[in-house]
Amino acid sequence: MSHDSANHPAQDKVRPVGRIAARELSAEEVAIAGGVANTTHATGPNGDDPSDPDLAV
Amino acid sequence: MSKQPLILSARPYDVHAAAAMWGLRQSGLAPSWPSSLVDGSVPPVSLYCDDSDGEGSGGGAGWKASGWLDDGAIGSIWFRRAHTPDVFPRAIDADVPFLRTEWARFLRNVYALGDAFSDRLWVNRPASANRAENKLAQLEAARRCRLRFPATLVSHDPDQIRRFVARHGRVVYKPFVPHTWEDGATGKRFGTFARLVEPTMLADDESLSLCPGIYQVYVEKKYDLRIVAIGDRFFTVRLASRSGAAFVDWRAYTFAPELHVEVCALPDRYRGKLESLLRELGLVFGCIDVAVDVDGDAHFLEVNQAGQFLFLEELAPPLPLLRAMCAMLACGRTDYSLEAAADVSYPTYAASEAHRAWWEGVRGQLEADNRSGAWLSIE
Repeated sequence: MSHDSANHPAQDKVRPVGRIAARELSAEEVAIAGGVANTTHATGPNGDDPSDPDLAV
Repeated sequence: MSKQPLILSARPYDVHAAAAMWGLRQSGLAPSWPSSLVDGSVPPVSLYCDDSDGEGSGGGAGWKASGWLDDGAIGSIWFRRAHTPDVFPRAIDADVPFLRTEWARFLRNVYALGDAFSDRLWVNRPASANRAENKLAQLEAARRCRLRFPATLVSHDPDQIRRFVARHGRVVYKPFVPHTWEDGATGKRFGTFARLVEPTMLADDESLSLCPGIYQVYVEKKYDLRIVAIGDRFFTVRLASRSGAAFVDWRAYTFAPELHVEVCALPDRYRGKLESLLRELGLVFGCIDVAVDVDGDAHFLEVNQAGQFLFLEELAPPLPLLRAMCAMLACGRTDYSLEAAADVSYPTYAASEAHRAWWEGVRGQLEADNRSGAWLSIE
């Protein structure tokens, strides 16, 4: 599915506004998400909002 | 032996945890960062309590903990990104759900007891950390502390959303947690950042109602502040565009040459309000995001109780953030002295052989997790 299809999904499907708002990540951002050494940045899956905090409380 | 820090972070590739381990060792301490609570890398924990006289008089010595919660051995716990154990190498599959549930319930009890074990420092206390992960709880605390913040609507009601946008004009949409989609054909990735609402985003009722989103009035800002509160110390940097144009979400420009970062002072009056906010939320550490408008007024956006901060040492040196965290963990108190830790810095750690060797051992796990995490969807 292409980026354009976020706004034009298959006839019986709908995409959330969050997907429509998503923008293409730069090569450097993808690199952070893909495992380069410096991952102390606020962005990415290991950034400020870890995708699965699982605080268990 | 003096009391030592314990770091609870489930991801083996957590650079912040690794840097703190290095910094603490450089400071002469012997911190622990267990890879798991069940694999023998830390002593098993026991908790004991009685009523002493057996009469229910309210007496007794209270809870006593041993193992990785030993009162006499652990002086501080960095509850950074803990995770319920879910891997039990020698267990049979049929037992794993039971084991996961028992561990989850046990840890929930441990964290609920919180200060009952001792007066050790938690960074942050689990119950407070859990509550502060909720952006709406943050805004409610900010309201009580008389912090200024943008009008916010959280909704999946298309009519309410459109009315909010019509009323306020420039409105930012943001999700509760960032997510990434990967185009299976091209490999291109698309991520959610805070973004100004555009007409195409409001066109479809079903798209808006599929799940709630956060809609917040855009602050016509001059610059952003990232304020890192480490105990009683506040470290503030100003993030602005070199051209003078504001960023909707500065995180999207972390790598861009137009991002200008500099250390700045935090006005005492605003610092007092942020101290109230942290007290209200029960936090001793947090990365606070604030937008400053063209009139110089500050607008609270959010506080990340387990936020990222070491990148600021590279963007705006010299900021002794790693040293401050190590000193607080070493002292086990929020009114620590920086002298309690060696003169360590993140850039020094990042360039060290210790970092290189550690990274080689964990990068494979990061790459594997990044391919399978809940944060990523393949389209």
